[in-house]
Amino acid sequence: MSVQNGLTLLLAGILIWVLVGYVYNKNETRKVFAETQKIEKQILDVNAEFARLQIEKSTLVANNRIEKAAREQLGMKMPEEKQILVITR
Amino acid sequence: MRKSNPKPVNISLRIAIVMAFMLCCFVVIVVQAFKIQVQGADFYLSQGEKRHVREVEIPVSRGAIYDRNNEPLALSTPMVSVGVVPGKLLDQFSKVEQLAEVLDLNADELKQIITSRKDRKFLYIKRRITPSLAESVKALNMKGVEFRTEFKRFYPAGETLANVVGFTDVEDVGQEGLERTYDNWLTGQSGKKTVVKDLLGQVVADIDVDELEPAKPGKDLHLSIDRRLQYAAYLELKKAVYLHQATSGSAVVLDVKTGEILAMVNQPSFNPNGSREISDGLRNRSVADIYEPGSVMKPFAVVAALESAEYTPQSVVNTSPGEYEIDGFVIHDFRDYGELSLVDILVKSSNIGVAKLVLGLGKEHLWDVYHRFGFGQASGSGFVGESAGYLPHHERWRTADHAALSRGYNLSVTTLQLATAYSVFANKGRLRPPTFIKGNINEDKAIIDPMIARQLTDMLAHVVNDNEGHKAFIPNYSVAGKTGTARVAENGGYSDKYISSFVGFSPVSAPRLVVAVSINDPKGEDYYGGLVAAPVFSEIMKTGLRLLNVPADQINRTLVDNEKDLNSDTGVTDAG
Repeated sequence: MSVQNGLTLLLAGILIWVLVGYVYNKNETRKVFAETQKIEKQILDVNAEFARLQIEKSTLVANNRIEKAAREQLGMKMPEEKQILVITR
Repeated sequence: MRKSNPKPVNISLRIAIVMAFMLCCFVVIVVQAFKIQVQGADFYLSQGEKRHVREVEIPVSRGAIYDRNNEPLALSTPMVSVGVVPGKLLDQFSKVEQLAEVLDLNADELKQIITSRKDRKFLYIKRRITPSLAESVKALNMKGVEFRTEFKRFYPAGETLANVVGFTDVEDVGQEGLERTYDNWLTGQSGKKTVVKDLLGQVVADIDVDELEPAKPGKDLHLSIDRRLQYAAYLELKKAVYLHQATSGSAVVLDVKTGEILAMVNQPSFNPNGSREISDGLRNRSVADIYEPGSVMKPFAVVAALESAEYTPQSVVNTSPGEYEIDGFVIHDFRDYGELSLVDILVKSSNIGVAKLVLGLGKEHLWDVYHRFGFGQASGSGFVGESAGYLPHHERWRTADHAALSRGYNLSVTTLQLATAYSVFANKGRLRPPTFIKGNINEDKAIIDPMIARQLTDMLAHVVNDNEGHKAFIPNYSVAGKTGTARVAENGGYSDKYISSFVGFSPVSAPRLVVAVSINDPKGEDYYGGLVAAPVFSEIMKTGLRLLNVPADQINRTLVDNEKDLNSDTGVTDAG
């Protein structure tokens, strides 16, 4: 009888341990999953930001903007033909 | 411990009790089912939906388009589109007003739309707003307002490349240009996955580790176009079209070695980032518009003459007295040139000279030469809406047609075809179909004797060198090319409108670039190709040679006055 009772208690203990473990695991999974979701969203946000910055960059380096800045702010111009000397070896 | 004599059991009573019990249970179940499925249907449905397993779409962006140096030409950036479920908004019109205000919509119109389409499940009310604006819509916290990610296409190169790259429609499908040509390549496939959502609509678990349909983002496209050269070429063309009050124009820059299209510009154009109501600029004229090219075809007639082995570049043809009658048609030269060598026929662009050359050869031979150079056939670039031009079959030529074809009439070509055909001279007699894609080099094939290609190159160099002050001249580089000035056919005759063109390549010793320019209907005093198109050619060529670091091959020191002058006159003004 006492052996049987001991076995029952042991099994019950294991059962409770497994159940609590299961719940704990499930909770951990959810937490980790929520974390991946957050990171995936961050990836999307970062990509969106990258696209926006690329557009901003290409607007800033637009040829007509550079040309305007070179001519008007920096006073640059293309060298005239007589100012070009080709060096030969 | 059982009784040895059990009493007889009333079986039927027992059955009746059990039956009654089961009936009760059944009634309870039916009542409960009725409550849940009929009375509480809406509640449970909406509750269920909130924490249900569902498929969600994984949005993907369309591939970007880059130039050959990885500069972006078309980019997709994620935007938020706002939609509504009209049925859920009917009882909260006060909030609809706020929504309309945030989105800058007309509140009355919006209400009307919602009422008139209340049976619709989903309705876009504003598409592609910025994520920050979307946040303020989300802050209204309205039921029945939904958000979807969509992508907006942006074209950093603007009007310089608009009709080549093309554009997409509101559904992100390529409508024109390369966006349409390579639509399948650029278009991604949005994926699907199954997830569990909780009460707040947040995803709590992925059901499948493997997605139902994995998302396939669109692939990027790397064009052969060089954005810097494109910009420079566009400015030159626009300037010339404006200066000569022309109706339109186009120019193409080809890399001789690879057949890559480095620049392709058209006027008029449009702003691809704005509205596209004006349809005049939408067409990529370089590949879509055909015209009778005129004198730029003469070198190909000379190829036919040289192939016949009856002529050498020094053979002499008598063009006196400057008029020549064929089948009742009289053709003229600018003046009486007398006896001309083949070289001088091209230098002077003698109509009579080329006519006499080709009339001595078979019609079939001239047709065959034109056909080999790709006239009357699509160039192989694959561009949507590319025209093949028109080359009538030699069996239908009358003698006058034969002569007309030698000077570039009675056939139609595109600017891209002209550039490709001239690249044969520059590429040792081998024709390489042009391409828009970086590194996607088409196979070339020999179509004329390399010796004849060499001779033509020298002859075309004479055209620029022997005509004093030729506008195609580029300092320090040798240039070969040919002008064309063709009358435009209208209403069955020739009008007083012209198409001015120039096609050429440089440097002659080791050609790198072919540039073809054509300007349609210049209305100023100048209409000759040498005055209208050649300056555009030389400016584009100059920039191209500089950008590609092509070494000079015809160094002319007399251009530099002296060193003192170089130092004193730097030409730089101080802008402060």
